[in-house]
Amino acid sequence: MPWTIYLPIAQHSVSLPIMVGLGFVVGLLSGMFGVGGGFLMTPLLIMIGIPPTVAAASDSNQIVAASASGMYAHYRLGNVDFKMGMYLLIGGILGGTGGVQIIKILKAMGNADFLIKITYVVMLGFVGVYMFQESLQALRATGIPKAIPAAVKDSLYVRLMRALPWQTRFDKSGIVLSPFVPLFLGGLMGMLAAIMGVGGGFIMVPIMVYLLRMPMHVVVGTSLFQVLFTCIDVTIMQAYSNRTVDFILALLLLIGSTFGAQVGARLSTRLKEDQLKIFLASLVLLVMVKMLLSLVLTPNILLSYHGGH
Amino acid sequence: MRRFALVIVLCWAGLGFASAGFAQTDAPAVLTVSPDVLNVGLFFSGWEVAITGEISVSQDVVVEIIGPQLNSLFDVKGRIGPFWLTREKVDLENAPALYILLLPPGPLWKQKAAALNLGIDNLKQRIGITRSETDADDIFHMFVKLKRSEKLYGELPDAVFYSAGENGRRRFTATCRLPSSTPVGKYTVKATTIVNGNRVAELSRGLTVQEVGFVEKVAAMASERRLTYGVAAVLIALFSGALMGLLFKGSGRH
Repeated sequence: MPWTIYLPIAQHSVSLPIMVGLGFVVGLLSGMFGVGGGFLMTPLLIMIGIPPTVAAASDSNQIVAASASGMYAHYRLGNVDFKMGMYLLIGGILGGTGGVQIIKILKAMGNADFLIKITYVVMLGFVGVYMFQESLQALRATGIPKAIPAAVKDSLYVRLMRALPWQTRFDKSGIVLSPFVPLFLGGLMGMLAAIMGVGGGFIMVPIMVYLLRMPMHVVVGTSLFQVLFTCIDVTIMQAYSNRTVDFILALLLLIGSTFGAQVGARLSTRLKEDQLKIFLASLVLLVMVKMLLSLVLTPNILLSYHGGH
Repeated sequence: MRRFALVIVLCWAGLGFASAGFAQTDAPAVLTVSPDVLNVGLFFSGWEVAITGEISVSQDVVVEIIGPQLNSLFDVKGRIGPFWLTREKVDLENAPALYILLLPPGPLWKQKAAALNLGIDNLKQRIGITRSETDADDIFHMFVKLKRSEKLYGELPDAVFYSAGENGRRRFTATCRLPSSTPVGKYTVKATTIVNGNRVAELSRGLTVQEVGFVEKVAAMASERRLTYGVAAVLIALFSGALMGLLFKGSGRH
C-alpha cells in the first residue's frame, strides 16, 4: 500500500495524505496566528489512533519546523521583536524547569491530568470569551467615528507597570516596560508549556496583545520565536527521557505544516486584525468546549494505558 | 518376576503405539503458518496470515493466534462529581498483546469453543489483575473492550474453510488480517481439533513479528542513542523549516 506509512515509535501505520493534510491545516494556523498548533494537533492525532504521549512529543518536533518556517517569514516582514522574545525565552526556560517539577508533584498527588485539563478549560474559556467580545465590539464599531476622550485616566494595571523598576524601551513593539514583566509572563508560559505539553503560543498571543500591549503584527512573529525555542527544548527532553518522539510522524506533519505556515503568514497580512482575533478566539473556545466535554462525558472505554498524558 | 517384567514392557509398548496412533489420527497432520515471519518495514500496513493444515473428515478445527504475554499498567476512570477522573491504577499480568480466535463455519461455534476453554472470555483465568479495588470481572471487560477497539482482540466466526485433502482427510484454511498496530514479538498459532464437542488434540506453530530496515534502525536509535535522536529530530525540523522558508522566499519575488 503506497499511501500508508508505518510509524516506528507509535507502532502504527497511517495514511500519508491525511497526515500531510493535517500538518498543512495546523501550519496554516501557526503562520496566521503565531500559535504552535500543539493544542489542536495533539487531540487530532489522538483521535486517529496515535498514542497520546507519542502524539504530544512528535507534535513538539513538527512545531519546531512550522515555527522556524513561520518565524523566518515574519522575520523577513520585520515582525519579530527579538529583545522581547529573548526576555520571554529566558523566563520560559526557567518556568519550564519549574513546570517539570510541578508535574512530578501533581502526579504524585494523583489526578494530575484532571488538574491540568481543568486549568486549560478555565484559562482558554477566559481568554477566548474576552478576545471574542472585544473583537466583536471592534468589528461593530468599524466606521463609527470615535469620540476623542478629553482625558484618559490610567488604569491600575498601567500604573503598576509603570511603577516597576528598570523600564526598558522595546523599539520594535513601540512600548516601554520593565523586563520583569516579560520574564514573569515567559516563566508562566514555560511552566504551562511543560505541564500541558504544548508550545503555549495560543496563550502567549493574547497575553502579548492584552497584557504587554504589543501590536498584533509583531506579536505573531515574536510568539513564534518563543514557541520555536520552547519546542526545541521539549523535543530533546521527550526523546531523551520518554522515547516518545516519532521521527517519521513529525516528518510527515512538518511537510504539510511548513507549507501551511508560509501560506498562513501571507494570509495574516491580508486579513484585518479584528478578523484574525475573532477567528483565533473562536478556535480557542472550540478547543475549550472539546476539553470540557472530555472531562464530563462518559468515556467510551473506562480503561486506558498508563502514561497517556 | 520375568513374567511381570514382560507384562510391564508390553503395556508400555502398547501405550506407546496407542499414543502414536492418537497423534497421527487426531492432531492436525500438518500445520503451516504463512508467512511465519512478518517483517514490519516502512510501508507495513498490517498483513494477512494464512493458517493451513489437514484433519480427519469427522473433525473440526479452531485456530488461536496468541501474542506475547505482557505485564502492563492501566488507568481506570471513575465519575467523581460531574467529572471523569483517573480513579485508580491497575496491573494486568500475563495478558496476551493479541488474541484472535478463528472459528469454523456453522452456528454456535463461539459457545462450543467457550465450553472448551477457548476464546477471549477464557483469558480471564490466565490474566492476573492486581492492585485494583474495582471488581476483577469489570476490569477484564474494560480491558477486552480496549483491545477490541485496537483490533488486537477478536473472535471471527466462519473464518475456517474446509476443502478436500489427501488420503480421505480434509484440508482447512484459516485467514486473518493482523492490524498494523500488531506488537513486535513471538506469537503462537494453535490449532485445536474437536470431535462431537470434545477437544481431541492440538498442534502449535510459531509466528514472529519483527521490525526491519529503516523502521528497525529508527527504533533502535530512539532507544539506544536517545540524545542523538532528539537532536537529530530537531535539526531535521529546523532544516525543513528553513528550506521551506527559502523556497517561499524565491516564489515570493514573482
